[in-house]
Amino acid sequence: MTWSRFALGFIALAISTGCSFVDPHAGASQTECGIAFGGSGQTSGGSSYYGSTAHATAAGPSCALTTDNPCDQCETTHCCATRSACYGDPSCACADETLDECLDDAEMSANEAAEQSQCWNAFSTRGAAEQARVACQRAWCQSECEVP
Amino acid sequence: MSKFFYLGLPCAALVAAAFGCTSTHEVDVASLPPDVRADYAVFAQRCSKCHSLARPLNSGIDNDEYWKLYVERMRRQPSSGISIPDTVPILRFLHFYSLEERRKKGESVDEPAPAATQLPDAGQTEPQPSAAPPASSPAPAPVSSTVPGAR
Amino acid sequence: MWSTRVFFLVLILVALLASITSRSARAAEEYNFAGSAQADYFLVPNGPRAEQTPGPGTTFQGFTMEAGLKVAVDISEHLSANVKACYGCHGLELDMAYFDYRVVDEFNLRAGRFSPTFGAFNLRHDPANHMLSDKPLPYDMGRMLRKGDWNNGVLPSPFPSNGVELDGTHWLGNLAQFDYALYAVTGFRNTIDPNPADFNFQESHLPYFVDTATRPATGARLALTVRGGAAVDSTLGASAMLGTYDAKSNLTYAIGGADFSLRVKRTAFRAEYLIRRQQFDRNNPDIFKYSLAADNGDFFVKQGAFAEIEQPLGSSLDSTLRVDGMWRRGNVSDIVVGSASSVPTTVSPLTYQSYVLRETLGLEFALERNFRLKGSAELWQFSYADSLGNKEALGFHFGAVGSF
Repeated sequence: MTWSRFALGFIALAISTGCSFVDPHAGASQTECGIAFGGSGQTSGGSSYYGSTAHATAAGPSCALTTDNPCDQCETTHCCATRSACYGDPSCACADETLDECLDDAEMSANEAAEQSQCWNAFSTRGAAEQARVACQRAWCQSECEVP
Repeated sequence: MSKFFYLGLPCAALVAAAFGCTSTHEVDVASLPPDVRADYAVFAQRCSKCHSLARPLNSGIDNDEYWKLYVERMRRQPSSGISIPDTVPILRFLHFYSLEERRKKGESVDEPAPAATQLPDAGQTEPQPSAAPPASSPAPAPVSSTVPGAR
Repeated sequence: MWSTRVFFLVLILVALLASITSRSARAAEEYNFAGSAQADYFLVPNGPRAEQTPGPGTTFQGFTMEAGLKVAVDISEHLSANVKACYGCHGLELDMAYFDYRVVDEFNLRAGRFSPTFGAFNLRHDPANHMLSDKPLPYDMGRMLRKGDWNNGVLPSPFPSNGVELDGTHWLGNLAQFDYALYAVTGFRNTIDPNPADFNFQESHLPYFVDTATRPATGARLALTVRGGAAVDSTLGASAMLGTYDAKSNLTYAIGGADFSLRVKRTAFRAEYLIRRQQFDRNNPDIFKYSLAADNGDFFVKQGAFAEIEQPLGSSLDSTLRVDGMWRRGNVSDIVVGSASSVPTTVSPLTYQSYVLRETLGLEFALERNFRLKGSAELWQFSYADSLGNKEALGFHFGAVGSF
């Protein structure tokens, strides 16, 4: 019995590890969250392989207060510069969207705190704009934004 | 309509060519002496796994020593499916085939024409006259796995 | 670089010819010339090129040519050499230039330039050795529609590389044949792009490349062939290759494969499956179509498979029915491979999950033993539309192949 459970456990672990090994993930489409191809360095569209054209969207939000969300309110009050810089950088804007999705997924997880911590860590290590934004949030809005 | 037209185009052309021509990329089995046919069957089965039979048949080789090297090289290809015992009937057929090719070129051949013949011993470079053994007769020794010159 | 390659190719061939012609009559029996050439016309009636909207993602519609010349020389009791020069879409290339030192059947050391042993198809990659004009999609090297989108197959064949291989074959009685191969080779690479996201196959094909990466790619293959009678045999094989492809040897790739074939008399059934897991450079997130995921976000997976049946319809006519496809999953770079650019100028039409499926019916007719006509019709199905809005396409090959 013990051996069979061990074997089944091993097989389950092997399959889950194997599946994970060949199961790539990706965030939201960058064109949908503010990045035209070429990201921040790109200013105009061009022909795709088959002729379609990507269009840049408008820049990110300003520090005008538009929601009742306590995190947003806190951040616009105390971290306007880093928040604007992030939304103005398409890469950071996309990463922010990925962070939101990651935090939503983490809420469903049994190990919520650890996974949320991973989400924040992944976001803050992605680039300078991300790192600055998290640093400011942690300094001024740690409880409002639930920054670990 | 156009899809079916294009789809049928190459098929129709090749089927028409097939029925309009009588060429073959193999040997006409009916023209082989009965005691060679079994050897040919082994050759045709084993030597068509990775390529058409045209490659050995039209290689221009008509020398038994060289056939040994050639068959050895093929036998050692991964997953060739050619065992050492298979090389005996294969080489016996190729020997017969070589003689026929040389006769067609008008070269003198010392062996009787219509039958399969036993391969010469290793080291001999020219086929020697011999009685025509049936395919079931004792086969010539297969090439050693470390035959000189073999790949 | 081009002139250097041609120079060395010509030099090697001339040296070989000179060596051969100066040998004794006895030794002259120990070399073998073989060659083949295929001219093929590929027609895609509803393709973007036919509609005057070509792009880098289209394919070689029209005539293409593949030719190869191989010399095999038995130098001594245990030593042999092979050199093969090819002419194809990339111009002249050195497909083989290696020595085999065979102690016994079970132990052969190969050194030089060669395609390492992987899968079953590569042994038949020469156009004279497979019935259809083009290769199965997992092994495609530029004949597929929308090749630029996909950057060719999972493991484009042939895949010559410089290195060493230990291989051998062993018969278990007269019933089963066991094959193995272990190798370490230069492998695939992309040292041109500042943020590599896939192989640059053209760069990988350069024969005279100073490899700045010190870590070789390694791989292995095991295969078992079982005979079920005089006219039945079956082969089951598994292959794997691991390596890095960027200049700093940081980005890994792993390719796995499984193959099965069954021959009953002259009817052949073959099936192969290949999977490639490949890491990409994450230092410039802006080049990607999707934002980078924190977890499992640094690689893509490309899978491909084919199944085919070859059936002779007479002494001079053969038919082939093939179904093949590829499936790619993961983030997509908008940088054209090999462009050396860090700023995308195009948008890849691939999505996080993309597939291509193809069904092929082909016939091959022998005008003479060594000269055959090939014709095939292909129905292509893609998961995404082209610039004309088509997700499907028909393709037709009309080819002629000769060999000696």
